[in-house]
Amino acid sequence: MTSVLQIALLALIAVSFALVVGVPVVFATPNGWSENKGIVFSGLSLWLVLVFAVGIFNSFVI
Amino acid sequence: MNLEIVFQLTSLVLILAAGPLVVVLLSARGGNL
Repeated sequence: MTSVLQIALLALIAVSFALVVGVPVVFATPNGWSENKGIVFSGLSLWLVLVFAVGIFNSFVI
Repeated sequence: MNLEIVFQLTSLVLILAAGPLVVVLLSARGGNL
């Protein structure tokens, strides 16, 4: 269970970094929002799932 | 070198590089800087 938590946490960090960099770039690129709206929403959904997954896995480890 | 220090330095580099990376990407894509 510990390794699952570590993998989920690493994925959360990676997705967070991608969103921190990618969302301002998409917002400020001409026609960026209408072309990349789906990717941003998918990243946000994945981030939300990972937050709850890390929380749930953490309660099994500690 | 201690592993925790490597993790902390990696995190610091990621956080510090995020801001300039946004500027570089927007500049390359002709974004609204």
